[in-house]
Amino acid sequence: MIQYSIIQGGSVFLRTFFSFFLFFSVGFAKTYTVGFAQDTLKNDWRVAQVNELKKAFNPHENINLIVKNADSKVSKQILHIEQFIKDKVDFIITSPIDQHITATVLEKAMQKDIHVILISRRVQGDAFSAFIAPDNKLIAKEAGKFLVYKLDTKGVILMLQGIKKASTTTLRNEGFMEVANKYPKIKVIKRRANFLRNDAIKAMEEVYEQGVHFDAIYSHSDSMLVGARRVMKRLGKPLDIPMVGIDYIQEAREAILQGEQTASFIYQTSAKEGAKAVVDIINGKLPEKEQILDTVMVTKKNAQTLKPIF
Amino acid sequence: MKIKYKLLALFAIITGFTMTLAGLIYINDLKSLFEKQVKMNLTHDKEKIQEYLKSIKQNTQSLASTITKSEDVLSSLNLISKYEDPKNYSKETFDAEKYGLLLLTKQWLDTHSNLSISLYDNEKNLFLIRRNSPENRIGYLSYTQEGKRQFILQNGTTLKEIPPAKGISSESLETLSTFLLSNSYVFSFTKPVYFEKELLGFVRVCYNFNEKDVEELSRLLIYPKVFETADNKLLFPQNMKRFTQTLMENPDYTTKKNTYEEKNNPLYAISLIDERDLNKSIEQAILKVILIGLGISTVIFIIVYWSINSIILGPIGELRLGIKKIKRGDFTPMTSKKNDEFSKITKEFNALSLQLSKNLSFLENYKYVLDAGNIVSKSDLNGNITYVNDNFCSISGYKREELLGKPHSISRHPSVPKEVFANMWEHLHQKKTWFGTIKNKKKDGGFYWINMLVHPILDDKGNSIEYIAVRHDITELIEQREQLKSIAITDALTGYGNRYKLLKDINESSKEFMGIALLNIDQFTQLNDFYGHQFGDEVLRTFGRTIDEYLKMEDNYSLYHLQGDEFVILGNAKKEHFLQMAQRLSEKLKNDILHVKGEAVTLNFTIALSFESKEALLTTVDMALKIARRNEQDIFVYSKESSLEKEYANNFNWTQKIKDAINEDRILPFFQPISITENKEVVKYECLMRLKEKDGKIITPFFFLDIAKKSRQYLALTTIMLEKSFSYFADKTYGFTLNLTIADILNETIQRRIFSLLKFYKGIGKRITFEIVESESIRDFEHMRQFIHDIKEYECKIAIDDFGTGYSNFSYLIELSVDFIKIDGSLIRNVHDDPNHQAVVETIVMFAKKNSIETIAEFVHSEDVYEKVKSLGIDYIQGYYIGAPEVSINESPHSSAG
Repeated sequence: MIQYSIIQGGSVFLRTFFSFFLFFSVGFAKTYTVGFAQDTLKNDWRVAQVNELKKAFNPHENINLIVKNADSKVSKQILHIEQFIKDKVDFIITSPIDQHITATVLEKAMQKDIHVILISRRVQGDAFSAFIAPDNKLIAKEAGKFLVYKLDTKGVILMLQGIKKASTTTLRNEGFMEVANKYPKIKVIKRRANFLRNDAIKAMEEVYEQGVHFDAIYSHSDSMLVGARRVMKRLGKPLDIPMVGIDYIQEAREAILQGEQTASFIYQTSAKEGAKAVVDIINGKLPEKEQILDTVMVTKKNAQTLKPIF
Repeated sequence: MKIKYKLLALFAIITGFTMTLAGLIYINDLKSLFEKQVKMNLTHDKEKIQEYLKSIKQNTQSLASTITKSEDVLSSLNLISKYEDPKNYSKETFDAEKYGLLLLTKQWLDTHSNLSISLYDNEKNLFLIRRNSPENRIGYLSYTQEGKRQFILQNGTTLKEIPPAKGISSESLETLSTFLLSNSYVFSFTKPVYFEKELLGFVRVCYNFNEKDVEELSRLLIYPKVFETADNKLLFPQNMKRFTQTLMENPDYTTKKNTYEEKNNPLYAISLIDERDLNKSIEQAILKVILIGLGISTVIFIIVYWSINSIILGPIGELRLGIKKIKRGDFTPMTSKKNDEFSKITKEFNALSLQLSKNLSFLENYKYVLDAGNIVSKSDLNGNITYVNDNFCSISGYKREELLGKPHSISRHPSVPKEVFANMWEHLHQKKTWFGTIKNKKKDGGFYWINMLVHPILDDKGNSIEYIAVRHDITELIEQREQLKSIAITDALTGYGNRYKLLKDINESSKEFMGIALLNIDQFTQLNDFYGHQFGDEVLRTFGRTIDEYLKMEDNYSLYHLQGDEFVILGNAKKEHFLQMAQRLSEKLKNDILHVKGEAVTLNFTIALSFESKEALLTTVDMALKIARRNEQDIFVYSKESSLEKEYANNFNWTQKIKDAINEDRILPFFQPISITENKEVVKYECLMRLKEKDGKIITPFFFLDIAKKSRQYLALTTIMLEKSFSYFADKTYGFTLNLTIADILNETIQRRIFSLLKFYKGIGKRITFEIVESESIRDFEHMRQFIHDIKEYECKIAIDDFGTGYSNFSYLIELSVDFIKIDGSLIRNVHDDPNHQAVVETIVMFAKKNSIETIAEFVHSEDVYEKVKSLGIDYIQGYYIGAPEVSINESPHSSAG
């Protein structure tokens, strides 16, 4: 269990002293605790998401942020949320791994008057105060169109999938397949790598071992593509095949600039927006229940100017 | 057995005992050492096993703890317990979760581990197992789409049956419990999992203790072990099989049972202890002990053998040689070079040998003296002769070879009564010395008299071992005595028995009928006066012969001549026969005319008879004679009626007279001088008792002594005599003699009086001579000797009175250490003209001189007698010739005649 506090460093005494100081300076202002049940921290994107959230809460001294890492496990995330409920936090921010079971536990939180802010993923039902995420399905459709165009409507596309059952994975799959299914000569091979670099390496090694041929790669995340490329480089495979990732991370930017990755889609972490929702609620302003965030395709042409999310 | 062998045997026993003891101790030590080792080993094993079990338990517990601390496990349990719905089971979520958990548990258990993990939800339902043994069971609980339970193994196989599992009871929580499962012993630890006080489920970790552990342990343990549970169920029978086989095949193994895990399921470990080394060690130890024992024994044997020889046997041998030398009579002292106990013994031995040689030579001298002066023989306890000296041989006429081994009765004279020897044997059997005078028979049939002392020789325990007899020949003495006796009892004039013979015969007679006749010649004095004494004597001789001739016709009568004209006939016949005989005799004599020296003499005589008792015979016959004379009867027979009254009056009269005399101090000592024969010098006086009658008349004891004795006044008389005599002579220089009867001496009162007087008049003893009157035989010799010994302490002297008559016995003289013999007056009175009396006196004097006894003659009444006595060599004289008894003595001793 990893816990991040907005007050970092210093002795226990100093910390306590500082808390008192804050309390009096704001003048009876209520202190709010925000629990963030993060999916994983092995993933760069997820790390960026946490950092952005911290950054967004930084000016608000009356808000404490607690971050928990579920290591991609549903059970763990649920446990964290239950922990938050038991700790009587004011807000729970999460990016649910399982959209069914998580819904159940979030219902419990709502019943206890805890505001639930979902960022980047949602649950079934409406057990949340606000849902903020880029449109994964749209991104997936765009990625599909781009690859079909690149392959000239025919060829084999290797799809590296994210975590099973995660809404992100589902949507990034659905959107892509909607486009790909329109072209009979486009064949899609799916391999799961759980948004993780290491899993992607394993998956790629398997693919090569099995002698599976493919003409392009569609990865649900840039991180997985980094892993895949590492295997290809090691095996001396040509890196000029079309490769499209999502998230636009620093490594993706460098790869695009060096010509090792064809394109990436910016996938915003929704952290800034999630924090805004929290502040709005504190300030008595009801946030929009569902917010869809924009996306931009990054290629060699614009990579120089666009900053990656992490 | 020889000392050497005894000592060696002793040494062998001690060595054997010591070595055995040492061996036993050694073996015992070995055993205890081994037992200690076994104990240490068992402790070591026990500790190892405990460590092992402890580590198992710790591992089990710590794993349970680790698992419960795992967030993954916590979150999975949370999910499964709270969010799982069998009816609407999401395989994707839950199977994935469980599968993930299954993979997670792999990090804790490798495939060979004996540990197993089971996970239970909060309703105690098992949903996940990872167990390698006893059977490989790794899988989780799942549900079909219809909501049915199924079990999915790791390899994907689906089982419809859920594997059986021990339920969770609240007791077993958080405690380490044990249970049995097929061939294994299972440690189980169940820990509940909480999330913020909310029960999420249970984690159970088990450890399956099995053969693998036993193998693992056997590398750590010293003794092989088998494990057993409470019901004696062996955990791993195949191990046990090996185990029991070893036990059966080899007796050198034993087992030991230890307990572990006692709580609810005891676990025992049985150790197989190899005792081969111990038994081998014991065997070797025994061998060693025996070898060392033999070695030590040999060395000690040599040392002891040498020591015994040089320290003990050498000196003992020398001592033995010394003893042998002594046996040979060589008393040269032995030398001892060493300075040890033996040298001390040798010194003592030398001293002893010196003493022995002295004693031996002393004894030799004694023996020589004894043999030279006596007839000595020894006999065994049966009386068989074992030794005789030369004197014995020469006197008996036997050669020594003829005597040795023969009974002493060989020399027994048939005349000696059996009772004498019976008495002797009785003394000897009582270990007393026996004295006696007996007659012995010679080889040639002759005899000899001996005075014999027989003494039992006792051993150190006081038992008789032999008898020694010392005798001296008194034949001569006896013969002389016999001669004396015969002289004494024979009337010198007539040759018939005298008064003494008569008294003796009366005394010694045991005849039923006894009577006495006293014949008295009437007016015999006139005959004497008329014809002279010689004629008178001839008449008496003829008269005696006449009676004797007559008595020869009758039996059982003997004739005695008492004195002057008195003859006595003692007869053993009935009164009427005696009386008839006396009457016939009276008739005959009356008519008989005696022819003496050509003269015809007719004698008248009176015969008095008495048939009273022995004691009264003489007095009564005297009385009868007096009565006959008074009555002028020729024959008178005494009867009690005739004299009893008078007799009594007489006796009573005297009793009263004595009593009065004592009371009125009229008993006086008279003193008759005794002189040295040679020069008639008076040296001492005999104190004689006199009774002074009221009218001043002096009475001699002749008249009252018998009565005094009968009326028990004699004691008082003696006492008065003693006191007055002592007192009288106390301030004088003369010696004096006192008469004592044997009864006096034996009387304690008198004895006491004598000694108190002797003590009172200090120094008077050397002037006193006690004259012992031989009126009776000495019965209590011991007492007599003691008395004589005691008075001799006061330098008193002893004389035998009236020697030569009565009971005098030569042997008494020696026995009683007599200083003087007073020869009886009857022998002295007419010694000058009676050759028989002269011979007797000569014999007495000779005997006395031989035995350094001085002699005194009494009744010296004339110059003739004095001259004769002097010529016979008698030392002292007493009698009217020197002086009559007087009431006082003449103080100027040398003024007497002579």
